[in-house]
Amino acid sequence: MSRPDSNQNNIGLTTAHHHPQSQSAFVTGLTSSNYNPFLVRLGTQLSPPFMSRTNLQIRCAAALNEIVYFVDSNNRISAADMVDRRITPIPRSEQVQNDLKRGEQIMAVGVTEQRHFRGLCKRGQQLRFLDIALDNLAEPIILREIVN
Amino acid sequence: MRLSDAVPTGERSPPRADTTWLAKGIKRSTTWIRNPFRQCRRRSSISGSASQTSQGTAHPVLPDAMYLFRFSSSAKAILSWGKNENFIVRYKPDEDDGEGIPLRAKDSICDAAEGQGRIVMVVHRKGEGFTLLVVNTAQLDHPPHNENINMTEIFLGDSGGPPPLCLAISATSVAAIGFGTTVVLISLNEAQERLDVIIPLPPGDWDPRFQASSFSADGESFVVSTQIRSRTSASAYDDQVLTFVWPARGPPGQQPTMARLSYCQMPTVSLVFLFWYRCLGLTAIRTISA
Repeated sequence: MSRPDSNQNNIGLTTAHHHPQSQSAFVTGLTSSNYNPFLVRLGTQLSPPFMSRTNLQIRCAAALNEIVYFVDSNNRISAADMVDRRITPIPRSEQVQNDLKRGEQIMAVGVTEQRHFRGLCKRGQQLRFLDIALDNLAEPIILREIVN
Repeated sequence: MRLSDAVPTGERSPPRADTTWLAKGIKRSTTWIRNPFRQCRRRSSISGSASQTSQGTAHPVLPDAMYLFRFSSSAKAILSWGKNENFIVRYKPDEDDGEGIPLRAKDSICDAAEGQGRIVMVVHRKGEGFTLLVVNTAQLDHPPHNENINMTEIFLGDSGGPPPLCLAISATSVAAIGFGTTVVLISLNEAQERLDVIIPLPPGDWDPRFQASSFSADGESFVVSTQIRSRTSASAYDDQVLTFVWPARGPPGQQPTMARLSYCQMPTVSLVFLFWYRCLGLTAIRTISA
């Protein structure tokens, strides 16, 4: 579940997720500084996480089991595996980035049990609903206007 | 019906409250508020300034008033509200249908979440303090003929305390409301057990600035992360993020209860599940403060 978001950018910490089986956590912040979002039990040695071209200015995230899906400040949608401590972009993330208009931001995200990534995109007063089937690449990306 | 059409309009009927006091100091009441949304008419356009419905009632333009958004835990609905607004909109993208839920006139929404068939809202009620409002979504999906919304109210505390910083709902129907140094856990069942957990901050005078929390998908654990800054030095370098996790379930074979959680307060469990991570530097704080 994502944290509620606003137009304001004066946000530090934004979301926190935990995977009890692996005893690891994933914490995000809307900050330009570098930080390691992966947390493990105190005293456990951390190896550097694998992060693929992802910035960590994260406004919103949603978890499905051990995977946390999040959106960075460039509207790049990535998946963070709390077990393997890997961050990789989801399939077709680049297409979504291209489909979004200039100045449009994904303000809230969610993931259904059927593994559909959903987002709410805001640009000024315009709201659009985003739906991506994570497992079926043949299924078209939905980017539908809610409020124009 | 689109999201913008769901803004409630019209006069609210006076709430009829049946208030009782529970032994644990939780004010419990059931309030019926008329939902004017069902009398709304769809507008032909939602752009521009306030428009008129066929009933002659003015709509606010949605994005100006509504700028906070949150998906439900199933991602089947989106909650939208504005700071200091006394109504919330629930939009179901699969049906392209939205519905406005009005609150009392003196309520302003601090935070809201949906999960386990419930909408949970933390509101600040003028002159009274913070209250948790719980709405069963079944009555929204299958409305009764009287068009009233049954809402449960749980009193959280007076206005003198800090404002809530985060809200989460577990798969076991427990709501967690973070007030910075304290997290209030309330079961959403009939008993409404309550547990106030103190977050063990390091020695010093700390100011909780931001807080985020969530339950694991199976409800087995709860994580709360708090960004704090020292009140004494007030330096950006002092910002720290403390994350605590504790199990919400008992040993195998035992049913999880709120009583179990009372034995798993953070100071004890933190010895096992303490995460301490300093993640924000000067650059970040300047950005945040800008």
